[in-house]
Amino acid sequence: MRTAAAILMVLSLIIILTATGCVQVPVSGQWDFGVNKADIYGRRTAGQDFYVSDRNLTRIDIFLYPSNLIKPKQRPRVHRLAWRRLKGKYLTLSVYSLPERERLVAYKLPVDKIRTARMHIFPFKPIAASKRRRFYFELKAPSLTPGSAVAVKITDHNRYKEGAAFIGGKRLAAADLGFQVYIDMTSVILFHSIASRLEADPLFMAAWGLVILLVLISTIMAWRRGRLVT
Amino acid sequence: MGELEQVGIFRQEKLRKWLLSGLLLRLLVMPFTAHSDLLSIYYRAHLLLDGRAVKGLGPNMFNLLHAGFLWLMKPLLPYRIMWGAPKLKTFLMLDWLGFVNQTSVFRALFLFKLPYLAVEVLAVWMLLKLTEPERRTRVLIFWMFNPIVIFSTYIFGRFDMITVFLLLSSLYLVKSGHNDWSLVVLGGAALLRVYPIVLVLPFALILESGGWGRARLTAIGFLPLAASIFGGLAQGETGLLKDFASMQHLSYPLAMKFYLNAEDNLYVFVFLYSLLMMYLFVNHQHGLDNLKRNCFYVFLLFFATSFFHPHYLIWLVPFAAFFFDEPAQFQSIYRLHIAAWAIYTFQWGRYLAGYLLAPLSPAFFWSVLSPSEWIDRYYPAIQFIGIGRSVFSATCLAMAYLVWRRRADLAGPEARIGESEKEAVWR
Repeated sequence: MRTAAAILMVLSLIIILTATGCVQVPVSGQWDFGVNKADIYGRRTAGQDFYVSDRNLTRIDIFLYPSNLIKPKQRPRVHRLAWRRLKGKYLTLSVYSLPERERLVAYKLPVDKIRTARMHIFPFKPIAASKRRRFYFELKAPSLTPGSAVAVKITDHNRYKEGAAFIGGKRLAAADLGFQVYIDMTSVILFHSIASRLEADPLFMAAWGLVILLVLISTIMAWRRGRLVT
Repeated sequence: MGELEQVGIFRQEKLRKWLLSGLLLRLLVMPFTAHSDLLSIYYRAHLLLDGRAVKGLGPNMFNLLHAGFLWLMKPLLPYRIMWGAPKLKTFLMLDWLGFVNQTSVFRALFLFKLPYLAVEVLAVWMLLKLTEPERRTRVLIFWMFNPIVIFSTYIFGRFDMITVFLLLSSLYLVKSGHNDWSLVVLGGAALLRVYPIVLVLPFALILESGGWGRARLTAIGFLPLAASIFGGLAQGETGLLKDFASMQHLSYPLAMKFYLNAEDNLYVFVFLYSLLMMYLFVNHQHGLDNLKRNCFYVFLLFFATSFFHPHYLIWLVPFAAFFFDEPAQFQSIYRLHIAAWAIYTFQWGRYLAGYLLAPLSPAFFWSVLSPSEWIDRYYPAIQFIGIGRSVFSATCLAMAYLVWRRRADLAGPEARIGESEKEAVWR
């Protein structure tokens, strides 16, 4: 019985550690509000500054729209030609640490991969020192023109309070891009996250802990008494 | 009457340790797991307390019940702010993610599930009263540590424990000789969860032998549900009957079918259920033992042939408790039954996986892959779940066979006398 319990505990620990190592967890961002678009082309860039609460920043998802060359109900030939014109063109994501403005990540996404309006994933190697730090990401596509520009979703309701959007390098205080940043969740972060959740309602946790303690003592006593009787 | 009967059930030393161990397990789980269904029912209760009407027929009954529970716990909750922002109510009109992110979520979950714990105490008492004294410890262990009971009531947080309590109460009333009242209570269970209506006919066919008596009991069993429908209609809720008839839950028992021709289908559950009822009609069986056995058959048929939500399986547990220790193979089949049921739950993806633990760390558990997503990387998850489901259905029929075979083995004259004597003792 004890061996089985020990094996179960070790297995659970392995599963938890494995699971936490593979889980990318969203930590901040906003993307579900607003339908406005901000075009990206030439020297017109789009960016957003944001705050990361934990270490291992590893991914940014950004809501992108396909190139202006792609129109609904386009004739198939025109459609094919448009995609061909976009070949070899890239949208570049750069991530900078703040306030140093040191470039930490550069990721190139082929523009012809942006086929539908949705969140597009920009993964990168985890940034270990991301805990409680501010970052800035910028999207640029110098090879695109206004006619072939791609676009990013933007909202002007100040949905994200810990940062703002930048269009063409200009800060728009009440605007935010549609984005979500992720960290690689480690078991330490998970335990820390659970602990901070449990601390949040101390009165209940104390009352619940007391009930558990009383029932535990009663259970142990009942088992002991049971042994004495037998 | 045995010595054990002299002492109150919960005071018996050998039962108490198991009761307390089971209680500890439940208390440990209660504050940390949540499904949106638990919030949705309390949200409707909140609307009722707020003076706003909630649409629904039988369901109104449990909304009212939960409104009562919520009223009692209101002073202990951050009641005004806990229902989330109206603009963010997306899934089931609920801001579920907002709810699990609240600092008071553990307190709310614990209190929301507390009435179910109180009802479970009554259900366990009923169950033990319906069990022969020498089997009580085994039955109690089976119940207290049954993963289906713990999942359904304290992890998923569904109110099916109330239905189970009503089912056991109706059996207890039969044992006490109050057949009419037992059908009233069974009708009450049907009002909460509709499906227990399938037990009305076995009750009527076993408890009475004459046509008039059977018709009377059937009418009593159907009365609460019929009264709630016609009561609603009389209050001018015209769409009520149509809403009830179009409830997707009603089509679940018709899920397994044979296509015969255009507009000609054979529904497997209806077919087998009818066959069993006709068997009971032709071969009159009487007594509580036969009633428990046939109710068990009906539920086994239901789960083997119908689509169902995983927490429904708790309805089967008290009936399984009556038979699980004889014959010995039953327990092996039952373990397989639980394992196959666990695979069956995979079809609900993250809702029945990580999301259940979301209150502990919303961001993490929101992002954890569900078993079906993980399986899908290597093998089509639908097929895997289907295989699990098929095994599950087979275990249901295997359990029915084992109970039937045990009865056939006992059918010799000596055994019959022995069984009736045993029944007389613990009655």
